[in-house]
Amino acid sequence: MAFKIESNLLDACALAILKRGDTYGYEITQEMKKSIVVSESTLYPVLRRLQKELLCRTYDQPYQGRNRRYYSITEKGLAQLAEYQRQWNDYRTAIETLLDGAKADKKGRDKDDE
Amino acid sequence: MMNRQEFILALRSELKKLPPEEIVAATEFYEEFFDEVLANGEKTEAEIIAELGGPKRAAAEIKADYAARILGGDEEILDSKSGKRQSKISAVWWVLLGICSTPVSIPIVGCLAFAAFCVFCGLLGIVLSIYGTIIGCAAGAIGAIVFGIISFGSSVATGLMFVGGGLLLAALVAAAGVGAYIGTRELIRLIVRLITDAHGKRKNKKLAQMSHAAGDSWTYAEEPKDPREGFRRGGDDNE
Repeated sequence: MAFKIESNLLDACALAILKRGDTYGYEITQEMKKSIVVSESTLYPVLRRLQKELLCRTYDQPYQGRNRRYYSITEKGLAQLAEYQRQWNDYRTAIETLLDGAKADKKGRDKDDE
Repeated sequence: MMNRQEFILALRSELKKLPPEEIVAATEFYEEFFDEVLANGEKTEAEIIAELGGPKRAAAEIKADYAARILGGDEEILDSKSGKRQSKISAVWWVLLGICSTPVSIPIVGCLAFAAFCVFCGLLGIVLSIYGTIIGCAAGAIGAIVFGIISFGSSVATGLMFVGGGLLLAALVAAAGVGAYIGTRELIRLIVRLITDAHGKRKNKKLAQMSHAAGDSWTYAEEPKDPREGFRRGGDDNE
């Protein structure tokens, strides 16, 4: 992909996945990889960061004789996700305005040439 | 080809400068990750490691994130030796101390001290030269007045000229003296205020640090307690 996904955006994506319900590390990475191109080794720090910023919390549940660590979004995490969504909309609108503006300009020029 | 255990060991050794808490968390995550992928039965250990980009890459991601968190300041730092919670301010202090104690920075500190000394000497020189000039002018004025009085005998005009010039100079000296006195007093006040301000700031910082340290236990109580604290997997004790 031409655009690099920076860490705040990854945080937002992870929070969005957690908002659907509690889930464990591997499932989160798989969900992320469904939508975006991202290395698995970048996803652990994302979860760690969310946990440290108290945007999500973890609990353990036994599964087939081992532990599965579940991640659960907190109130703070939901608030942060809403803020990310708001800011993302602003950002997307700004970029789209620029890109669409460029397209419109070109059309205008093409007409003048005729 | 690298297997799972080698990956975990390499990862842990790459992370050994980080607080133990971070190393344990990363190990647990990747152990679980291997369990999950292998349970799916689609990939081999080597394939998983290749997809992760190897232990160096995985460790680099973790270290970069840890550094960003520390610099961002929303992180308490565990002292790796005592396991005691440090406030971030004192951690920053340790970093600064670390910078100051390196051999490279000793000359820098020396240069800064020398520069401060030079500035002080320069200021002192300027003040002293101003006073010197004033004293010299005062002596000149007195000399001129005395010479004028003496020369009244031979020539009234010469006497008047010297006495007049001397008095004029004396008036100028008096004005300059008052100016110099006020200037010096203000300068000294400014220096004293700068020093006490710096001292006060340090004091405030210390107070802030103490209150922060007191607040630590409270903040931590809100953090979700890790139910597996102290829990170790087989590979964890290999270090």
